[in-house]
Amino acid sequence: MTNDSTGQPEAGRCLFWPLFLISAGAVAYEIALTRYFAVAKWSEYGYWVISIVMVGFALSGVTLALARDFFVRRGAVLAASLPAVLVLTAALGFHFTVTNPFNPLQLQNPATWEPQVWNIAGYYACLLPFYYLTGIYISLTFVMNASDVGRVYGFDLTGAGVGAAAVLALMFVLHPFDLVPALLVPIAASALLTRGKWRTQGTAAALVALLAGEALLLLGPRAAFNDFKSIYAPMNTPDAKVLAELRTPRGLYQLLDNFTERVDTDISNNAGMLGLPGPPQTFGLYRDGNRLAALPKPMAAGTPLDVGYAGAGLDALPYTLLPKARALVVGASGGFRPAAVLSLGAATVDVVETEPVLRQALRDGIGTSPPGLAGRAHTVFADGTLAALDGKQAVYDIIDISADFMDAAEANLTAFTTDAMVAYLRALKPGGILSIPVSIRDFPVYALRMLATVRAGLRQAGLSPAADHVLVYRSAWSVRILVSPAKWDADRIAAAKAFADERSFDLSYYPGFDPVAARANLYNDLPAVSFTSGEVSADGPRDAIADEAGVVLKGDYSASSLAFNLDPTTMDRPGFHTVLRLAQLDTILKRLEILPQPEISGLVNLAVLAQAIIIALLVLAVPLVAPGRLRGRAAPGALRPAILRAAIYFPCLGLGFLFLEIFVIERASFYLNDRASAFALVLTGMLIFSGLGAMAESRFAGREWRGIAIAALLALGWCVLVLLGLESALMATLHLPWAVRALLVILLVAPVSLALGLPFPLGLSQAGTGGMLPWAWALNGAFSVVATPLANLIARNAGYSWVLICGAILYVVALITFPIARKPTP
Amino acid sequence: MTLPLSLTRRGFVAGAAATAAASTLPRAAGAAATPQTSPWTREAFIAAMEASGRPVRQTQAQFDAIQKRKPIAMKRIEKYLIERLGSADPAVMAAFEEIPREYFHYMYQSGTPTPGDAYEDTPKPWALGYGSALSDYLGQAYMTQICEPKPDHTVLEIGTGSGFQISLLSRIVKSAYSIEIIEPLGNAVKKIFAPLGYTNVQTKVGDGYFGWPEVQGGFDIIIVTCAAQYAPPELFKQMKPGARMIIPIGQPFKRGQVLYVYTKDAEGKIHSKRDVGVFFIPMTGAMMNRPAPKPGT
Repeated sequence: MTNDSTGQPEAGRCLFWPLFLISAGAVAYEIALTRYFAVAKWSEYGYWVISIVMVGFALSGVTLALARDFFVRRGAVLAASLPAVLVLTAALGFHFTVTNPFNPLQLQNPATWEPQVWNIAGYYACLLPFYYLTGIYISLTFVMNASDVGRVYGFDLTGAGVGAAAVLALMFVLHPFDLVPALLVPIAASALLTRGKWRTQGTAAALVALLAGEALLLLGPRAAFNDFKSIYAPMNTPDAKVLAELRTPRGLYQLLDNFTERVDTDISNNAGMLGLPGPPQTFGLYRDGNRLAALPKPMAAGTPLDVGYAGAGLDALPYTLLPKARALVVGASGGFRPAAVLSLGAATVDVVETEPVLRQALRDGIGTSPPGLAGRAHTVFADGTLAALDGKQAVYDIIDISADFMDAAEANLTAFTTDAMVAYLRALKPGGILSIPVSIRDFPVYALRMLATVRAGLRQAGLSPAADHVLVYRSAWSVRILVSPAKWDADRIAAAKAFADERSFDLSYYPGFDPVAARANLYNDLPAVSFTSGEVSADGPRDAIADEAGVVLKGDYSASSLAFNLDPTTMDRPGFHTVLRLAQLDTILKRLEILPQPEISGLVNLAVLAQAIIIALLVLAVPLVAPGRLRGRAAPGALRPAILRAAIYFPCLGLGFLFLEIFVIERASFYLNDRASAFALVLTGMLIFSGLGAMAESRFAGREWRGIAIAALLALGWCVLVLLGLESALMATLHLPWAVRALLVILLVAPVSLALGLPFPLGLSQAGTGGMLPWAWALNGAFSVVATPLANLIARNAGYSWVLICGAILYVVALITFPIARKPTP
Repeated sequence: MTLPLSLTRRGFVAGAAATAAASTLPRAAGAAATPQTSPWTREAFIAAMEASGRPVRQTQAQFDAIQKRKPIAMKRIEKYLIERLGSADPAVMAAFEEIPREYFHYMYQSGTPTPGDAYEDTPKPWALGYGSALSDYLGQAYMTQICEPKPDHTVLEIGTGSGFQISLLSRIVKSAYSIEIIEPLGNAVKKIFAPLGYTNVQTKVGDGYFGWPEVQGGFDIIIVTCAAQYAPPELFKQMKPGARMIIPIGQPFKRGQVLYVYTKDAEGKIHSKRDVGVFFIPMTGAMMNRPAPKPGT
């Protein structure tokens, strides 16, 4: 930060490299922590880490705002010593994170949640110090170089971008639990690049801290999977082995050999009566401790996969209705699904497999597991269902979505949207069948939401009434929804009934279905439950799905549609496990225990939003507490900073930048068919390009208004173009190679990011010499924390397009409220 | 049919020690459930824990505090079963009365006994380590009653966990078998039954997919705690006529779990019922018409 004994900044191009390294290390540490949580616990709690980060930054800004002079006087010492302290707090923070006994499952029980809240407080206690002190370092650098704010911000952002890219690259090499020890190095190295008389002592302290930190993390308690993740039990069975491990930013993949691994498919409980075997033993492929797929065990060359169970599967019905079908299987399930479909009589099978490691397993095998598609030529589509079906009309007899496809990758949610239904129906031959799976083990209401989406797709495809084109049948735990461009006739319905009856499955809907009469012959009693009143039907066998399926397909209101959000999912609002109406929070909290895991993220989001708003309001209140500190001691006649305008301007920037970033990440996830790559490319690209843009701030000295107008209008124009034309552009280029599409994503974000880098340093240039600068930085940080959960809430209720629209509005407000410093009144 | 070593207190303690030393000897199968008639004292508790390889220190005051909570917990269980199922099965209540729950409170991963947590005022699940939990006693009472255990029944459990569930059932049924897939947990828990004199319980560590085919005639009750997307077909083959299979679904730290109850009809086809009684109360007064289970049948 400084390089002479008076604490005054020294000009020079090398001045901000320590800041670059610390920003890089801080962002990398944050990403490493989110990976730790995703692997050791569950990913929605890693999201909480990001909020802890930003709270630290916000609090540091408030500290600098209130005690600016104190810190500036000690700037040289702090610059030299903080790297060592940061290394220690980073190491201790991770150590106490690893040893924290937090069990998120206990949050769902009113009798056990309280100690877990203390464990969460433990995370704050151990992680806040690092981010608070990082914030002190960064904001002090701003304060001490107020005349060069653009370059400071540029080094900060580009450092953050490079840090993000570096840690993502490290994920190919290091286990997620070993990332943090590696990231201590750049933080310690920043001491070496610090100038000033304390450099030698600071470097020595950083080296000692580095050695101590590495010893603690490498020799002390090691991170491990939570013992309730699905990998834990298989790993601890007799003779269990990990046969292969793949490290990628997308996840830590492990191939396990143990006796619990079998093809995981819903088969009839009457399989024995049918003379069919159960699923064969396999290897198990896990990603971040969650089971992803069964992969075949080694077998003699030319041996087909053992799929003798296929005829007993819930998903076998379409193949009895349409023999010798040309089928498209969405989700290969390690190769077992195409093999099963062929054994059921399909003539040819094309495959959509979007998960890159599963695709590798199909093509080349993993470890000692052989290729899942060996011995049979299949066309494999890698880029999602919409890409696979682009331009196809009346091609397939059966489109069959595998039961594990939704959970295999977040981007796969787009395969269950209204837009996808339209594409499926267009690609089916006139008598073809689309087969959609829904798990009802946790929440039977998911079947109704899928039916609502199917109905919307049928109506958009011009097939009406929708109810004539749907047949629903189920086991105890799973539903299959069959959709056809042709109306379901009596012969097909009779064949479906015979199929179900033989296997103890139940039909829950077909045209002409009588749900009351059907109760007399149920195999799988599924009582109706009232989420609101907490009551369950007790007047004999029921089929809760049958009770409402017809109503939903007609588009009428049902009891479930009043209690839950059953709106069809779309490309703009693809979240499927978002049936809770968050406005009914009191009911949700009463039923917390029965909520399935995927719904919990919505509640975590609300909790993070509430915390973020409180912190942001506290930061906003600083001028009320100490207005004089913000203005500082100014020379007579000097310009006075506009605090009220700043209180609106900087929050708008904090919210607006993140809103645009979140929108682009969502769209890029679909375009690249991979959320991890989308996140990496967009985050790194936006940080680096906005950092470069920030460095142009000095060109607008004296003409700040021009700078902010150019930036805001560019951002606004970009938003309008994207809103109107992005979807068409994405669909038109979906067929291009992945590398080209990745480049297009960078080209999409680059120009707007260059523009978005300007408003923040331009605003800071008006901050004067008081505590206003760090306060503005704190505001920006505090509202960045608000941005993510708020954007998630907007996207959940209104769609991602509205996130973009809100971002555009925020930049217009920023333009209007630019806090130009004023001359004092005489 | 063999009898337990002794029904006297001295014999009980000596027998527990001897059984611990001979823990690798095969157990008698098909032994009748034998009620524990020795008084359950602090000394008996400590001896049994020692014999099971889980030594514990406990003062008399600590022991008495647990015993004082027990009757209140029993009342809680009875009230819960009446509220949820219309009646409390006397056999289930007797089993709870007989079994010392504090004996099952143990953190296997750290080797820490936690008997002081037993019969807590607010029933809750307790982590045992190795990915297992001792479910809260209300949920366990509910599931036990749903199983409809009878004295002539043979029970199979896949997923021994703490051993409490199979112990409960063993107090009612003729024979109980339990398989644990997690090796360190299974090896530790299989030592806990003999010290209590539960000689009709057999356990092993291994793959539960094929059930326990050596048991002739199959099972009246099968509980599967670790099912994936399907219930293993081999287990349905081992269901006797009129048998029930219970599969609890959901993470173990909730107040209870959703239970799927499977039965076979006369044709051999499987029927299932989703039971959410732990979380939801019946909508109508139909529960009043359900006949209460008769004791001893």
